[in-house]
Amino acid sequence: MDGLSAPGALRALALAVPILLTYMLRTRRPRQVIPSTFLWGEATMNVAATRPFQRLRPSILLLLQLLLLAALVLALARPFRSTLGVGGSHLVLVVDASGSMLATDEVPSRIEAARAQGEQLIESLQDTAVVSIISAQDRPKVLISATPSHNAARAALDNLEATEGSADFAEAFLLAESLETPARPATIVVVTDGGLTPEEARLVPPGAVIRSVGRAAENLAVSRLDVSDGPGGFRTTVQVRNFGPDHRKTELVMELNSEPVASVSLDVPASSSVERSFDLGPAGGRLVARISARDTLAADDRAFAVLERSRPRRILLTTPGNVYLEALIRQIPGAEVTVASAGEDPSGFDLVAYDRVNPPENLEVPALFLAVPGGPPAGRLTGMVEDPTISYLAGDDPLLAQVDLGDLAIAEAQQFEIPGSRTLVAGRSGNVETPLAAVWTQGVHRRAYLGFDLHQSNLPLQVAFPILGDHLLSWLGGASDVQARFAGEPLETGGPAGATEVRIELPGGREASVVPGQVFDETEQSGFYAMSFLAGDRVVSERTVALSFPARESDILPKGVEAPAGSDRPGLVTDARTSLARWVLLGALVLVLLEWWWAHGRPVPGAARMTRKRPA
Amino acid sequence: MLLEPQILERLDRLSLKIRERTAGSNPGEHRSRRLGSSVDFADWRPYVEGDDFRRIDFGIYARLDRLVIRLYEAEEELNVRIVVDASASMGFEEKLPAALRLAGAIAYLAAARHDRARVWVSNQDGISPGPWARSREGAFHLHRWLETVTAGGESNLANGLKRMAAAGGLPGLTIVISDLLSEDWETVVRRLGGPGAESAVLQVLARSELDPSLRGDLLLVDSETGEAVEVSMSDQVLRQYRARAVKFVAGVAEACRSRGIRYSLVSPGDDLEKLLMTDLRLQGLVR
Repeated sequence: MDGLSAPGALRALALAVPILLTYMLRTRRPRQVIPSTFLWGEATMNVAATRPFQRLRPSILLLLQLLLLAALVLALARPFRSTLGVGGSHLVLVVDASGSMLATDEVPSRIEAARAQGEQLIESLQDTAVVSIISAQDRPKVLISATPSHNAARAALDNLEATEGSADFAEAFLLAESLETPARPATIVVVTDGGLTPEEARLVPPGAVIRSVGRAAENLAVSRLDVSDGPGGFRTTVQVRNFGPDHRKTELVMELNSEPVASVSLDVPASSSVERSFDLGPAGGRLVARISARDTLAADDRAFAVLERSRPRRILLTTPGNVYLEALIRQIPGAEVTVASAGEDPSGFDLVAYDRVNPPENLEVPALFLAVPGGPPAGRLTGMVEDPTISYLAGDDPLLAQVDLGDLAIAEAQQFEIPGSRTLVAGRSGNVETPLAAVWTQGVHRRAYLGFDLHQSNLPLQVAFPILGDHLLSWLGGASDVQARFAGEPLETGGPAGATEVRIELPGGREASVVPGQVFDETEQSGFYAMSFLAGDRVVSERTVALSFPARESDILPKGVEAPAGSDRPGLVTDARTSLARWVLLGALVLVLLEWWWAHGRPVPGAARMTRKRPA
Repeated sequence: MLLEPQILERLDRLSLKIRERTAGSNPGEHRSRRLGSSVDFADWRPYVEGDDFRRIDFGIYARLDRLVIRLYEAEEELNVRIVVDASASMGFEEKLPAALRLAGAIAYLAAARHDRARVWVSNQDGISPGPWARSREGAFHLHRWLETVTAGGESNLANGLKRMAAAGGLPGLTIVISDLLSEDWETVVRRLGGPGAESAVLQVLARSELDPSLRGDLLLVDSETGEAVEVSMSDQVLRQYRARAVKFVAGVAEACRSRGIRYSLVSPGDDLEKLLMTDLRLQGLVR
């Protein structure tokens, strides 16, 4: 305690005099003759004379009552402790709620330590000061804005939880500065363990106060979980990274639909990572990569992915006529095939194929092109070649697995080039060599290009044709969404036509319901988000999305952040007064309970044996 | 009338029981420390000149060619002293009438079996004896004397027992009937428990003395000493008192047990017949 805000209240200690008098003044008692006072013993006081006063005897109750009076008077005097506090009249508290704040190197966790710092700052505020609190997470939130109620601010701070996602500090700082008014400059305090990107670090508001939390760096994490869908089945690559300074060993377990399918022991050098790949076969489901690590951050000890071989359902074939291609596409189970000659709007289709027809620009679906007159959309047509012979086969490429093109003959083919593409088959005619088949990714969509008209080759008559076709169509229809997604990212809930509701089961088992197309952003937890699209009560489609812990948050080494100078924004002061009155009142309450217990509830030894006993 | 006829009728079927052999001066019904002429065989001893020829065991003489005399148990009267505390504290809640009835009943028990019984009363006048009772008539005479006893003054049991012991020891059976609510209760017990002594303590305590129901701020005055104490009756104080009372009763019982003194706690409301037939029989004082 460093002082009293209202020392005049100490005059109330004079109330101790009447309390003492009640113990010294005698009361006039009725006289009662009893057989013997022998057993009344020390519970009584002997009558000495008829004086109105008696000697003050030691009494626990008197002591408790005097202590209670002292505590109440001290509370009235408003004791305080000088602490680091807020200088301005508006505290804007930006609390890092990213995944790294779940680390337990601070007891019990970094987020709790941040909360304690926030509460200490609120405690030090003047009564007239207002408080705003911003939770810096993937989509920053203003928890409370310029409230004069410090209790409401404390309650908002209590409700703040760390997410398993990243933090968008740029947005959080923007929000913090927007809460400031010219009449009431704000003291902006950022409580964080660091982890800002260089861009975010440049956006720290000038004059802001940075309070750090976190001490340790030791952490082992599943930092990447990639899944590829090949003709041979799913293949996954897992990366385990050691962020700490010591060499670590761990056990990596792959679970598919909650059943372990692979397990391997890993030695991970300090500040390094190891990768392991697993072939998981064609079965789909929910994949979890889990390590057994004893570290300060448990949330990143697992990563999630969904193995889903998604075949296209609605397919548009634009062609002047190609029975081979049409038959091939119609073999896709469950496919709704629309055949058009030209001009069909490709939106709403899962896959489009343009056979000798120029596609529209800005195609936003996976596409297969065959001898498009204008050449490949992302490439260049440089000429034509006749009777090319196969000069190159990407034998290791899964798309050509089991595909025998030894007897392939082509009468005429386009000479083209597509930057960034992967050539599957190339041909040579004279000195001219050109890709005959190539695949590439444009944005998030896959593309495949065959530089020859099927009618100008014997490919449709080859055994390889349906195999190659199935590989290409599976690859095209699958998985532009196999790329990892992270907690905090919003979910797109666009679904099939006719769906009126989307029910989402969250990782914790909680359910949410949104309208199809509405962005769902309650994705603070990593895990599986199972979406059911309903038309009335009928489930018309289902989709599961896996969100993992972002690797960026696994690097929990606290990093210093510096705020740019050059602002007259008020900072922190060292002589703020933190009131101790409520602790004193709490002590007074304890004294009241103790006094009651002493007077009424205290057990007396032997009282329980109060029975008439006849000893033998 | 101190005791009702139906109670006297039941008492005729009982007798006092002692652990040790008695040493009375007149024949009676209790085994003596001496040998005598009862029908119960005790031992042999060699014949010496002057022994009664009729006591020679001729069966032994025939087999062993030795002259031995047959000895028999002697049965003598029991000397019973009953000391009744008639101090002022016994004047509450019918404690003294209960103690006098109990004393009268025990004296009748003894006299009806040809034992000698006498009641001593301890009150403000010191300790004073009543008439001897050696027969039923004597017991009735004693009962009439007991009906005149009143409570008063301070308890002086310890000094009274000392005086009795100095006058001729305490042979036979000594029974103290008192509430023992005084500082010298341990002295009383100690003096009763001398070597070879046969004694019993019947402690008379009212229910209100074990579990008082007093309320409020009171000035409690001791009926014997006049000492006054202030007590603010609270649940806490009453719990403390009850605990102390239990500890006191247990302490008296333990002190008696450790000295071989039979002990029983008696309440004024207890049925006398049940007390004699059940409680004192269980304590081994009556059979």
